[in-house]
Amino acid sequence: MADSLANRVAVRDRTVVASATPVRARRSRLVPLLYTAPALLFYAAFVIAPWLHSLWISFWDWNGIGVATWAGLDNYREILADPALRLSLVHAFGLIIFYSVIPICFGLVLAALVANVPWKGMPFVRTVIFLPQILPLVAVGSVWKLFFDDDGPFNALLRAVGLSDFTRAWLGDFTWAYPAVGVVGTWVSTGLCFLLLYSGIGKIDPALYEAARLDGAGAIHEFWHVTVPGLRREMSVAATVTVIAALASFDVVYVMTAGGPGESTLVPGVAIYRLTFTAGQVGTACALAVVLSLLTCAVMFALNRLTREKT
Amino acid sequence: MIRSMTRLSLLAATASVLVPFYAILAASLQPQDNLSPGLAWPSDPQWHNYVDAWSTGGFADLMKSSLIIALGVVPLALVLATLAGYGLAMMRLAVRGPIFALLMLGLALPYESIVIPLYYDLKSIGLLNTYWAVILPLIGAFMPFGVFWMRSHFESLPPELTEAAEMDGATSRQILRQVLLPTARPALTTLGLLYFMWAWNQFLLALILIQDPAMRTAPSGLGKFIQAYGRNIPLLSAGTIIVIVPVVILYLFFQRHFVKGILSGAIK
Amino acid sequence: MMSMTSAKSALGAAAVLLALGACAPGSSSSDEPAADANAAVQTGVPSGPVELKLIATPESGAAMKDIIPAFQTKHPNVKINYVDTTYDDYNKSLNLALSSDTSPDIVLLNAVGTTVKDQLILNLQPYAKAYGWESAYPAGQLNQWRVAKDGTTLGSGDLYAAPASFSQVGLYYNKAKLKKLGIAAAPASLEDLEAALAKAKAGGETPLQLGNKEGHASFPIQLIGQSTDGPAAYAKWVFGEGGSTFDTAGNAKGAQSIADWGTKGYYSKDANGIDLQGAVDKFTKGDGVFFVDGSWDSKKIGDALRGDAGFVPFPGPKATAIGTSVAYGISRKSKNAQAAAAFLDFLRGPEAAKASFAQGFLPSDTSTVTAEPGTISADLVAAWNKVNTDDGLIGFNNNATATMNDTLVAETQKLIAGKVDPAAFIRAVQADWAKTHG
Repeated sequence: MADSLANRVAVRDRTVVASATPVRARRSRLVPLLYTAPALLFYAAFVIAPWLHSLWISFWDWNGIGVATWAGLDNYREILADPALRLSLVHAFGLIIFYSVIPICFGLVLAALVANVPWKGMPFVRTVIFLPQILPLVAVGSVWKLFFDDDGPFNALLRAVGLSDFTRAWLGDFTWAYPAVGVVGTWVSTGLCFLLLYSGIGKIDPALYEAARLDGAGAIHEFWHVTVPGLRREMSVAATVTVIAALASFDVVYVMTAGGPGESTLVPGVAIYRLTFTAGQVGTACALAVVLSLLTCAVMFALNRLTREKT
Repeated sequence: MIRSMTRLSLLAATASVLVPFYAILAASLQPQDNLSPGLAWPSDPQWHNYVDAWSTGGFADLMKSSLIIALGVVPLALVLATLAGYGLAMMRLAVRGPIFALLMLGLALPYESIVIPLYYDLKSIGLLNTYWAVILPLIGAFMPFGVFWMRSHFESLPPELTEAAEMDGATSRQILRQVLLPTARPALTTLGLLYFMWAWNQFLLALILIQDPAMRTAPSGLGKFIQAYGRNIPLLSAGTIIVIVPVVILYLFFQRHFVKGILSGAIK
Repeated sequence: MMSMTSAKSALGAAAVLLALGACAPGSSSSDEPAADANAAVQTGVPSGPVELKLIATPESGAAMKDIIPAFQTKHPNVKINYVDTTYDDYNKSLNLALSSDTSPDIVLLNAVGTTVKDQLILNLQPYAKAYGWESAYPAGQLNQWRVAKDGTTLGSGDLYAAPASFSQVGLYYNKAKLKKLGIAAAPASLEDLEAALAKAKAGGETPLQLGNKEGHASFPIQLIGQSTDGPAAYAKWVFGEGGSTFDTAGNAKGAQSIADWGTKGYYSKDANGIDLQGAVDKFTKGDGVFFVDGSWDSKKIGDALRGDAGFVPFPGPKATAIGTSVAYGISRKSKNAQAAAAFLDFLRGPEAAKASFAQGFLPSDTSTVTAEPGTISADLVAAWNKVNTDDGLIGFNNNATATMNDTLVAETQKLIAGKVDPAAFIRAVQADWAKTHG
C-alpha cells in the first residue's frame, strides 16, 4: 500500500527531527494524546463506563427502583435456564442468515453479473438500491408491518395472482413471522453488500481475468477462482457490518412483532427492553446485554481472524 | 442474452426496494376507514391524511426534537473526531494500540448493552428527560467511527504537506488549522451528514432516555404513533412517510457523500 | 486486532472503574417509613394556587377532558395538567415516572404492581376515612386497591387508589346475525353459547371474532374459568393470595374450550395476527356473531352496529365479569396531596359519573346515569347490575403479576396455534405467578 509506505517514511523523518531537539520532541510526542483526549473522554464516559456499569448491575438482583441484593452469577444462570431468553440469542444468530448470508450471496452474484456490462441505468439503480441503508429502521419496520398485515398489500398481491390459499396473517404465524422479520434484514442489507462488492470488483487486477480466459476458463470458473477470492476483503467487511446489525436488531422487531407470536421472533434487544421496563429484572437485563456484547465481539474477532489467515 | 439477464436482475432488485414504498404511498392516500388497502392506486387520493397524521402524531414537535438532537450532536462530534483523528494519525506512542482496540470495541457494542445504566446514570445527574440525555451519549457512541474516519483521511494525505510546515517550526495546532483542515472539507461533510442521519434516526436511546413523548426523535414518535393508531392504516402510512421524507431528501441531495461514507466507512 | 497488552490495559481500567462505582445499585433510595394509616389529614382544597399533573392512558383517561374542567370550575385556584401515553408505554414508564423528581401528582393505576412495595404511591386510608369512601363504595369495588403489609397481596389492608369508574368484559353479540341464524336470545349458559357457535359456523358466519395479537384470548379463558370455579375462589389467585393455583377445573375448561373452538374453526386462523382494535373493526363490519371484549369499546361498537349491538355478561351459572376500576392514586412525591385527594373525591360525584359513562365506563352507582332502552348502554347497565348482584366482578388475570400480561400474550398465542396443550398453558401461567407470589 502506497499510503502506509509514505507514512513509514514520514515516521522515519520525524524521528530524525525529534532526536535533534529532545525536549521539544518529548512534549510533541505527548501532544497527540492531548488531541485524542476529549474524544476518548466522551467515549469513556458515555460508552465504556455505562458498559462497565452494566456489567456491575448484572451481578445484582435489582428491580430498578428498590434496594438491590447481591446475586453473583444468578442472572447469567437464569439466561441459560430461561428457554425464552436462550431462544432470543438463537434468534439473533439466526438473523445472520437474513442480514448477512443471503445479502452477500445476492450481492456477489449481482455484482459479478453487472461488472462486465456497463449500463446507463446504473446510477439510478444504485440510488434506489442503497436507499434502505439511510432510512430509520422504525420506519422500515412500519412499512413492512403494513405490507405483511392480514389485510395488507402482500396478501392482496397473492390473491391477485391466484394464490389466495397462501394468504395469512404473516406476522401472527408461528412458522412465518420469523422469516417475515428476517426478510426485512435482507431488504436493508442487500444494497450495501452489492455496492461494497461491486466497488471491490473494480479493484481486482484485470490481468487475473485475462489469465483465466487464456486458460480457457468459463464464466463460472472465473467467478469462483478470480472474483470470489479477489473480494475476500470486501466480503469480510460486508459480513462484519451486517452481522453486527443482525445481532443488535431491535427497532424492526420491536415495531413489527414485539417478539411474538409466542416467543417466535424474540431477540435480545426486545428481551432486554421487556426485562427492564415490564418485569423489573434490571439485573437479568444487564446480564443479557453483557452476554450479547461479548458474543458480538467474539463473532467480530472470529470474522477478523478468518479473513486474516487466508490473505 | 447475458446483458438482458443482468439488467433484468438489477431491475428486479430495484423493484423489490420500491414496491413496499409504492404500497405504503398508495395506502397513505386511501380513505381513513379503508381497512384493507391493496396495491391499487386510490381513485380519490386523500392528501388530507398527511395533514391529519401531522397533527395527531405531533410531528411538528418530533421533527423539531430530532433536529435539535441532530444539530446538538453534529458540531461537537465533528470537532472531537477531527482532533482525535489528527492525534491518532500522528501518534507514535505505545498506547496507540490499546486506544485503537478500545475504539474498535465501540463499533461492535450494541446500544442495548449501555442504555440501561445510562438511564440511571443520567437520572442521578439530572439530565434524564432532556435533549442532553440523547445528545451526549450519541457523541460518545459516534466517536469510534468518526475518529477512524478522520484518521484515515489525515493519513491519506501526502506527508510533504505537513513536513514543510514542520520544518518552518509550525506547532501542531497551526498545522492542523492551516494545512490539514482545508483539505478535510469533503471528509468532514460526509462525516457530518452521516452523523446527522444517525442522530435523526435514533430510536432506542430516545425511547428510553426521554420520557416526554414530544421531546423524542421522529422515529421514536413514529413507534408510539404505530401503537396508538395501529388500525388506521392510511394515517399510519402517512405518518411513516412524513418521518422518512426528510432523510430521503437529504440523501438525494448528498447521495455521493452518503454512499461513499457508508461504503468506505465500512471498510475500516 | 486486540493485542495482549490492550486486553490487559482494558482489564485494568475496568477494575479501577468498578472499584470507583462499587456500591449496590439503587441503595440511595429513600427508606422513610410508610405513612401511617391513621395520620390526620384535611379534606377539601387548600387556598392559593395549586397545580397538579395527572397522567393516564388515552382509553381510561378519555373522560378526564370533561371531568377536569368541571373540577376547575368548582375550584378556580386549582389547575390540572392532563398527559396521556399509550397503554404499553404507560405501564412501562409509570414506576420510573413516580420515582423521578418530576413525578406527576395523580396517576392512573392499571394495577398495583410494585408501586406499593417500592413506596411510590401514597397510602390513601386516612383520606378514605376522612371522606367516607368506605361507606360510599361497595366493599368489593375497593378491595382491588387494598394492599396487605407485604406490599404484594391484594384484597385486604389499606387503600391505595380511589376508583373513578368501572369497566367490565362481557359478551357482545350481533342481534341481526342471531336472528338470521334463528337463535331466539343471547345465550344464558356455556352450552347455549357452544350450540350457538356451532349454528353460526354451519350458517357460514364467523362464530367468534377473536384478535389475539395482544393476548385477548385470555378473556374467554378467564370468563369460563371464573364462572366455573365461582368468583370468590377465583379472585384469590388474581389477588395473589399464597397457596392459590391457576390449575383449576375452570381454567382447564377455559383453555380446552379455546383450543377446541380453534380446531372447529369458530374463530379466524389468523387470530394471532389481529390486534384488539382490528377485531373490533371486523366485528363492527359484520365479521363475527359473538365477540368477547370490554365496555371501553362499547361506544365504537354501538355507534357502528346501532340497534344490532347487544351485550350480556358472559354466560354461566352465575353472572360474572372481568372488570376493574379506572382508579387513581397519588404519588408519594406529590407536594399537593390534599388537593389531589379532593380531586379523587370529586371522581365519585355525579359530574364525573356522567362523563365516564359517556365513554363506556360505568359509575359505581348506576342510578346516577340514564341509558336509553334498547341501546348498548342499557345492556351495559343491565349486565353491570346483574354482575354486582351476583358479586361476580373479578380483576384481570393479566394484572396478577408484573409480567403476567406478557406471559398470557405469549402463552395464549401458543395455545391457539396448537404449540402447547391446555395443561402446558396452565403450567406456564402458574410458573409466572409463583415467581412473585410463590
